[in-house]
Amino acid sequence: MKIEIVSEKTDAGYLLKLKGDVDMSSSPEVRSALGEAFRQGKGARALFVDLSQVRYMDSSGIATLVEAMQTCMKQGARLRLIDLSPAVRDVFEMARLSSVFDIFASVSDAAKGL
Amino acid sequence: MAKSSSVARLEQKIKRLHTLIDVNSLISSSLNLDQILENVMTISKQVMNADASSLMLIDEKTSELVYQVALGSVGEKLKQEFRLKMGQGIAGTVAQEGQPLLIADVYTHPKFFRGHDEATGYRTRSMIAVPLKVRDRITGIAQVINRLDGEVFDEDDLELFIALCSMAAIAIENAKMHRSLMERQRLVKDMEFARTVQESFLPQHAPKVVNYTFSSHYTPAQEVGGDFYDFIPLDAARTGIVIGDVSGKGVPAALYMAKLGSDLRTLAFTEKNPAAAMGRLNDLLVERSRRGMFATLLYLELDSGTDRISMANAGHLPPLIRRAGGTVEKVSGTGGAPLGILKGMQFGQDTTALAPGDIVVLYTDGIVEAMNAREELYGFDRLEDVVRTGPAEPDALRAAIIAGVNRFTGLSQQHDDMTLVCFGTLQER
Repeated sequence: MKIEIVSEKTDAGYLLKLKGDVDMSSSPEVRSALGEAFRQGKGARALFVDLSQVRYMDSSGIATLVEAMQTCMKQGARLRLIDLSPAVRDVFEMARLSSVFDIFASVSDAAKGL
Repeated sequence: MAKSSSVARLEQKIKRLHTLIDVNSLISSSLNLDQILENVMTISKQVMNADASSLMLIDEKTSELVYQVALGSVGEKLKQEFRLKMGQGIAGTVAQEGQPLLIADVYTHPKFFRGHDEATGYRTRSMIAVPLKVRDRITGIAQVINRLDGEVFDEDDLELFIALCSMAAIAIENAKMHRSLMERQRLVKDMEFARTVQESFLPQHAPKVVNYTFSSHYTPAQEVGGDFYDFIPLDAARTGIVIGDVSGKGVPAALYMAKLGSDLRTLAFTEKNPAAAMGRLNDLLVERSRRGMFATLLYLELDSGTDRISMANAGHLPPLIRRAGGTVEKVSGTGGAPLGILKGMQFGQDTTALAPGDIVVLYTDGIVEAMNAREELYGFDRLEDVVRTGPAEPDALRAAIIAGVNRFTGLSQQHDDMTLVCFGTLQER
């Protein structure tokens, strides 16, 4: 399996844990899991996405996160990314994405101040 | 008496076998689906000596049976008005259960759906309905109704119709496959055309700038991709130079790129500097953001009068400058995030002086992420090495970089566009 997605409900909102590669072929699956989390967690203050187990992410994966962030903003919620794996961190640094996403070391850190 | 009856039956069987051979060659004589369906039903009606015949195929999207051909006095009306759900009526039952049905009088059958007769005024009596099967998959049903001689259909009729339908099912499947192959070929042709349209957006000639030379390279990946570059003549001394990469691939990325390119061409003239143009472009892209699409973009203005470049970088890979002395600088600069993500972003701007013999190298990730058969990436280090040690002239350096990447990747197919722009000041003026 290219990507495994685990969805958990937390006090502050849904947490999606991604494991594997987020690329052209697996991004649609991530996108629909995010869509489901939006539906289930309507009214939540935040959506958390754990990226610690992501081995590879291409531009379609980033676009999926960008869309999730834009959807969150429209709904008055926050998208918070948790624990970027080294591969994801490299991509984020190279494309200067750290300035647009809220990134936290852990879910408990991310849940603070919501 | 018994002997002559069995001879008669044998003779009839032989006759039917001949008929089936003829039928097979007729059914298989075309790859046109509509023609085959029409042939199948015309032949069924004749061979089965039936008053009416019809054929329904399963609509895979709705799982309903849809009339494709209905011959007989009320055929057209049937075709226009009826769709059946799986399990509905005799046809729906045969499609669901996959077993043929031979019925002497359909009005005695609990599943008979009288709606057809009531709507058309036709009286259905005897019927055979057979599923169309391809390797255990049911694709539709065919039925013949009312023998013309007034008799009811019998077991021999059933056997013949089953044989006929098994041939028909294969012929229909072949025609469907042929049709989808044709559609795929048309799509491939459309994609090839889209690619030529996309390439026509790229500069056809290098700009003519006093004391500077330019060289560029673009290799599209197999699909239409999202890389682009452009040269914008701003005034006698200033030239805009753009390189970018839109997220994703395919036609959406190409269309996004086309619009972005034309917007930037306008903003390059109306905004006071690259950073301002980038800020406005970002806001435009965020406003029409779809599915999180974004672009990394590097926009430079070269002033050939002062030999300076001013640049704003929206998340794009940093340009390399090979100085005349042989050192290579990676210009990370201030920059900002990619375009199209957050409204109101501000972009930094960096200015660098160019001396005679300096060469600026702009590239997309298709270069540094080019992959060989061992799934190793070409990487920044190899690129920097070639830039450092390669020829001291933009066009020759561009050729050396591409040759280096091609040597590294060998015959491995690349999945991303490769774009490279090199420009520099002349050594001697």
